[in-house]
Amino acid sequence: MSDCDCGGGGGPARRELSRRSLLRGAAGLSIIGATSALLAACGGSSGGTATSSTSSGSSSGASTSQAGTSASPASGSSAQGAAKSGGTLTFGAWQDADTLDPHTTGLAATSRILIQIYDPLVWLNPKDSQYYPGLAQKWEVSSDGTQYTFHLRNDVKFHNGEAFSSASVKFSYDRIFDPATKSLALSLLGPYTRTDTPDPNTATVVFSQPYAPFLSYIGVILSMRPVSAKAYQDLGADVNVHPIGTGPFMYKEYVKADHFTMVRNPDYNWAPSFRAHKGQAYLDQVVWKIIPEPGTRVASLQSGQTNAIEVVPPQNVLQLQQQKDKYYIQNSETPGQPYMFLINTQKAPTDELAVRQACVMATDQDSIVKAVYQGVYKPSHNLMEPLTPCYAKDIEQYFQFDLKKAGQTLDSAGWTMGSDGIRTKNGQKLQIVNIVNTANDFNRISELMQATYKQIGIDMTIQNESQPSVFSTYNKGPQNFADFFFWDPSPDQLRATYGSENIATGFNWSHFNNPDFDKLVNQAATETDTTKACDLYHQAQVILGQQAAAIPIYEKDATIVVQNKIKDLAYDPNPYPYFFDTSISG
Amino acid sequence: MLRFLVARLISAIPVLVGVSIAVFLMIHLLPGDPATIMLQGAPASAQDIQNLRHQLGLDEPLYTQYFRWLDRVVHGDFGVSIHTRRPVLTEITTVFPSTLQLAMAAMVVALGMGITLGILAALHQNTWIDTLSMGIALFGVSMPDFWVGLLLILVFAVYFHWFPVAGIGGLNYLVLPAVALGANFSAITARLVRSNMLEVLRQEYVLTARAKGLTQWRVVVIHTLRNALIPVVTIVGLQFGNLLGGAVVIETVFARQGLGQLAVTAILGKDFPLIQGIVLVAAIVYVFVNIFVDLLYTLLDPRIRPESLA
Repeated sequence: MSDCDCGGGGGPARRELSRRSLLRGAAGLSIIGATSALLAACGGSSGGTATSSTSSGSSSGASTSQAGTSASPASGSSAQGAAKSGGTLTFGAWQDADTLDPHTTGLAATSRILIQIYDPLVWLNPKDSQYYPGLAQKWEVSSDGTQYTFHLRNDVKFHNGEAFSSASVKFSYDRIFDPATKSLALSLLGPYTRTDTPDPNTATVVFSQPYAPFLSYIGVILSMRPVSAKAYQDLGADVNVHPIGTGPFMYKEYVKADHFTMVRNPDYNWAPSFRAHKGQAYLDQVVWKIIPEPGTRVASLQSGQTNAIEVVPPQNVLQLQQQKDKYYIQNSETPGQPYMFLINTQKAPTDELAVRQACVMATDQDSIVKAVYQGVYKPSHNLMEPLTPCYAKDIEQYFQFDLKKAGQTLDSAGWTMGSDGIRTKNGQKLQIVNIVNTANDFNRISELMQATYKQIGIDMTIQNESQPSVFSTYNKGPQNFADFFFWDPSPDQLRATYGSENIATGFNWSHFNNPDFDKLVNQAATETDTTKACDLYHQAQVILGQQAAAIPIYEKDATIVVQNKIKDLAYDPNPYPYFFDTSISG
Repeated sequence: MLRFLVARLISAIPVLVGVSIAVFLMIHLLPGDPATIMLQGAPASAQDIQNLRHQLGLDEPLYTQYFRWLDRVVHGDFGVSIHTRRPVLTEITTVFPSTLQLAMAAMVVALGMGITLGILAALHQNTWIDTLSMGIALFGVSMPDFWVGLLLILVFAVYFHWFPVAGIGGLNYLVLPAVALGANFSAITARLVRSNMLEVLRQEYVLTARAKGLTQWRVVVIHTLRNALIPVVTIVGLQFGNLLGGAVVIETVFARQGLGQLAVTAILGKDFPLIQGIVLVAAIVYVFVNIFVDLLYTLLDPRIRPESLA
């Protein structure tokens, strides 16, 4: 038995013995292995890698201060004196952050988290649409509109202890402007050239031409908020997972795709005057729990694992609305552009005006939205949402449903109905390609439109493609319909959407190239008089309406369902939920 | 025994090489130039594309590229994710433990439930116990796992508040997902154990054991179960791959970070380096699990050990 390498080299009896002990050993090992793996799960802490905060100074970990201790908020505001301090709010979010660097993030989901951590120079109050001092106590715009001078507070500190000064402002804008950062906020800086810092409390942002939208971007957009230069030096690449700002909440922990935890900033004392109270925030902790699956997210609210959830499917909104003793619904309109289709003006057959007009007239937004969303969302007949500055109601005349007129328009343009129910002209069939972005849930809407279009002889094919690759597909332009929506507080977004310089690389998925339009929006961007600017934007929208560049479908509201015990959930202009004044009662 | 192990490991190498070639060719088989695919439509001049091609080594012959790639992979460099710009291996190792935990927990659930049901059915063949057990098994194999998951959430998390709804964490976060994922395999196991037990129970040595006066427990567990489980061990290895795949759905339903969720995001986002990395890691794990199962199989059944064939 020379080739038997079992231990001992004896006869069959010995072999059986060693097999048995081998078996026992193997069984034992597997049991130990499985048990220890499961015990590791019992550890109580999260299974993924958590990058915990190492922020200096105050109570990052032990934030369990209750009302009545010395750490409770200042008693300046009498109306909120009864509001309880403390507690943890768990917010059920639908999407994970992409990166925690405010300069390179492209997601609204990330902004929603980070606006609690970064304060802006100037606040835009959504209730009265006025600007209020933030990190800047006052500011001036030069008469030619090219220079914005900010006079900064001198009592503000970042979460890592660094003092906020004009150097922070300069660092922040220069970093966005630096091409090496590849910042997605670069276009928001417009014709930026530099930031001057004559003294630690004064910062002047200088543009090469007048730039009217700047203040509104500062007041609303996350990436315009000052960041800590020291953090970028100290943390290096880790700054993408460890945000340091000047806001009422500080980063504590982030487990990718699972949760983001922030704790109250005890040094916070520079809330704007339109907030309900001064000093620190009420909540001890806010946990962003990431639950992409809508059914699970709703279940988490019902089981109490979360206190508030966002992006709720319409049928669940209706169901939760019935339970007024437990939840309330907060619906906010948002400035920007509604959910819509952008029609490709450079691809046949939609390169023909008559075809585009027919498509617009064959779309019955009201019925579609009612069928798909059961009344929870509002249909839109306009290029912008009502809360957007320079919104003009009369533009709705260009986006009305009239099936008969649609058919007549095609008839007059020479598109004759074929025997198969599809129109033809010069041997070409009237076929349009609709590439649906899988993230936006446009499939049902598209199918309903497809059915109506068939009635007047338009053949629509629906293809699906997912983010982010669908964006570059739209830029290349194989589609006739691209789906689209936009969050933006400024009418300047029309330039981003329809300006000819944004066809290959930006959001101009209708490949709209109209020199008159370009002239109007570029002029409006430099126009500091709001009335004159709105007039220019109105003319621009008229062109878009006459050229049938888009088909609006429904207004995107932000719907949040909240437990009744969560009080004073406010909104910023985006509107993203803002937790500074929020408290938990009962 | 050791020679057998070495032989199995050596025979795994062609499999791994084959997988690596398939993974490597993935990006070259797609329509379009790999450099353009990597750029994903970002603005680039012809010169930029040329530079990227040179940087990626795309101007070299295919087999040279393969060996370069293989060299990097063996040294742990799986490339960088297009979207997060972090190393692919880091992305995978961050989430893999969570998926592994889920798969093993599901395996425990499946084997526990499946073997129990199978034994009960076999011992009480053709009675109502048998019918009920097999009915449960049929149910388990027919229901889609995401439906089971959502149902479990509704009943045990929302209504009874016994478990949390979503996320990762302690043992109580693992229970519902493990049951949802394991339900399918438990049904298959139950049927297999039942038929094997029935076969083994008819063997003569069982009759002998009973005649010797051994208790039912000793007869069933010590003498028959071990032999009846041999085919189960075989399919455990194969099923492990299915569990890793099914984890995709369960992780999404229960909002657990893991390889499944990562794979879905990578595929939808056309993040090729990440997709390649995930496929490679999954294939390697699968191969090694099956080697382990093969070894276990030979340990359990002396009839198929190589020495006995000599």
